[in-house]
Amino acid sequence: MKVTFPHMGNTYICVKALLDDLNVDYIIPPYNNKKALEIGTRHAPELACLPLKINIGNFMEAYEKGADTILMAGGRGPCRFGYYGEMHNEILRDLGLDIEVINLEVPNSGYREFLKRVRRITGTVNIYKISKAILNATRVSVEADNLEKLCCRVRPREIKKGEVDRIFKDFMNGIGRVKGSKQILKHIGDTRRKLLNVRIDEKYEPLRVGIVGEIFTSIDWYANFNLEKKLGEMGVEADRAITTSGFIIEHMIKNVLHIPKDLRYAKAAEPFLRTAIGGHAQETIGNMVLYAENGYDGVIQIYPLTCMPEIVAESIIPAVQKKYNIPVLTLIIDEMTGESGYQTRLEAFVDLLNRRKELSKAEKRWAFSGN
Amino acid sequence: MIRNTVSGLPEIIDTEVKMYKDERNSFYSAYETGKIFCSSKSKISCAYKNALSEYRKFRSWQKNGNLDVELYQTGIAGEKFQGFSTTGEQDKKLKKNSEKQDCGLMGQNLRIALIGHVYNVYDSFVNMDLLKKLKNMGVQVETPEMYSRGELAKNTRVLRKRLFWNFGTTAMGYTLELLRRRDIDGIIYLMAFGCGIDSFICDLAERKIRNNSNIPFIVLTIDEHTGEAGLNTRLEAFVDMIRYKKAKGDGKISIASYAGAIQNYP
Ligand code: SF4
Repeated sequence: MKVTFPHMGNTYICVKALLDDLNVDYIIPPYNNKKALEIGTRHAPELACLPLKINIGNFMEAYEKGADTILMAGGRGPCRFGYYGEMHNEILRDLGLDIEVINLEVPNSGYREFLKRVRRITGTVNIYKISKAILNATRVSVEADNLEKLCCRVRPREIKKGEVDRIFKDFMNGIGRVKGSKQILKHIGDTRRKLLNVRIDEKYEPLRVGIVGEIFTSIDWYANFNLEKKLGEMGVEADRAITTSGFIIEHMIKNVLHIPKDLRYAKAAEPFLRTAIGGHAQETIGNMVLYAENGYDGVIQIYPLTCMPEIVAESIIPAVQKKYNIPVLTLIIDEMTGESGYQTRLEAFVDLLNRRKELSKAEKRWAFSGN
Repeated sequence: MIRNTVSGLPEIIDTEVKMYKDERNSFYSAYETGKIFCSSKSKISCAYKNALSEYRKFRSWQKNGNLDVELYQTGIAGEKFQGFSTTGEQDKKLKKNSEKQDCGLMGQNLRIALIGHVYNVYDSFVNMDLLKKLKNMGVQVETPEMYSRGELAKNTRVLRKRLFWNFGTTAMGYTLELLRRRDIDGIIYLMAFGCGIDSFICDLAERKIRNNSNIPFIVLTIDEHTGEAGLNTRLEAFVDMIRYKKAKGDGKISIASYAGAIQNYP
C-alpha cells in the first residue's frame, strides 16, 4: 500500500514525520502547482471551494506516481470540509482511478471502524506506538510553524535581500533527504540556526500585518501566492493567526482528549459573532480583534471564492473596522486569480498602511499641524 | 450579518435555534422569542402548539402534491381557490402557445422532479415563477417536500457517510427515491449560485443519477444576474428534449414531426 495525502503549506512535513515513524510507505505529491489546480478544476464541481480542487490535483499527480490510498482528515460540521473525503471518493471513482480514500475520523459506526482504518494504514493498533508517533509529529509541526514565523520576522529586516528565502528553499529541499521525526527536528533546528545568523537591520521598524482567514488559503503558499514572502519583501512583518500545528492541537488532539481549548479568539469575537458557524469564521473575527488590540497596523483576510464561513466573516468586518479603526484588506482566491492583480492590491494596501503610520507619527510630533 | 452591515435597524430578534442537538429545542427557542412579546408561559406554549399544528397541516398538504405556497396562504385567508391567476404577460403567452401545440407532443403529461432549497423552489420571485412555467408547459412538478423527512433520511443510509446538512439529507434521499421509483421523466436541480451546500449536493446527486440511470438531468443556477429569457430557453430546451426522448422511445413520432413541433414553440 502506498499512501498519499493532500498538500497544505508545511503540513506535509509533519505527516511525513508521522508516516516515517509508523513505517508506512507513502508518496508525497508534487508541491501545489498550476497543473494540479488545472486538473482539479476540470474534475471538481464548478462552485466547489479551491482546496477541494487542489486536493484532487494532488491526488491525481500522486496516483500517476503510484499511490493507491489517500489519507484525509474529516469531520462533521456545517462547513463543506466534512464532506471532502466523500467528494474525493466519488470524483476519483468516476474518473476510473483505482485509488481509495481513507477518512481518518470517527465515523457513524463508532470507534471500532476508526481503529480498523488505522490498522489498515499502519498495520498496528499498538496505542503506545501510535500515540508516540502522533506526539512526535505534533512536535515537528509546531517546530515547522515556528520556523515559518521566524522567517516572517527576519525577512523584512534582512540586509541582503533574498537570504531568508534561500535558506528556506534549502530547508524544503532538504526535507526529502531526511527520514523520521528525529531527523526532521534536527533539520529544522539547523535551519533555525542559519536563520538566526542572517544579518539584520536591527533599527528597522517594519509595519506589522496580521493574516486571518480560511485555513487552506492562509497556510498554503501556492494558494496565497506566497503572501508572507511578498509582504516580507515589501518590508512588512506578517503574522499568521492560523497554523497547521494550531489546527492539529486545538481541533484534533484537544477534541479527542476533551481538553479545554484556547478560546481567546472566541471571547474577542463575542461582540460581533457569538456562535461558531463552522470553518474559521469566528477565528477570523476574533483574531482580527486581537491583532487590532495588539497594535498591528493592518489585517489581511484571505479566503477561497464561495467559502461560506468567511463570507459571513467578511460581512462582519466593517463593524470591527469601525470599532478598532484598523485597515483590512480582503483577498479572495480562485483558480482565475491573476498574480499581478493580486500584487497590485497588496502594494496599494501596504502603501496605505505606510502613509497612515507616517501621518500618525507626524501628528504626534506637531500637535497643531492645522488642516 | 445583518446586524453588522446595515446600520440604524430596529431591534433584531435573533434567538438561537439549536435543533441540531435536540428536536425539542424548537420549543425553547419559541419560548425565548415569545418572552419578548408576552410574559405568560401558557399563552406562549398555546401559540407554539397552534403554530406546530398549522405547520403539520401545511406539510401534509404539501405531501399531497400541492406546491403553490401562495395558494395555501389564500386558503388560510378563507378565499376560494380558482386556479392559477396568470396575470403576467409572459404567462399568457406561454399558455397560448401551449394550447397551440397539437401535434400530440404537448398532450403528454411529464413528471419532473425539482430539487433545491425550499426558499428557492417555493419563492416565485427568486426562481422567476419556475413552478408556474413548468405547469404551463404541461409538466407535473414534484418536490422532495412530498415525502416526510424521515422517509428520505432512511434512504441515505446507503451512503458511505452521513450528511451533516438537513437539506443534503433530504435532497440525496429524494434522489435515491427517484432512482428507485424510475417513473420520473426528468430531474431539475435548482442551484443558488455560490451556495456551498448546493455545489456539493448537486454534484453528488448528478453523479448518482448519471451512473445509475438515464433520467435527463439539468442544473439551473440562479443568482441576482440570472436573466429570465436565458432561464426560459434552458427550461424549454430541457422539456423539449424529454418529450422528444419519450416520443422516440414510444415509437410514436418521427424526428421530422418533432422538428416541426419545435418550430412552433415560443
Ligand atoms: S472553510 Fe471554506 S474553503 Fe474550507 S471547506 Fe469550508 S467552505 Fe470550503
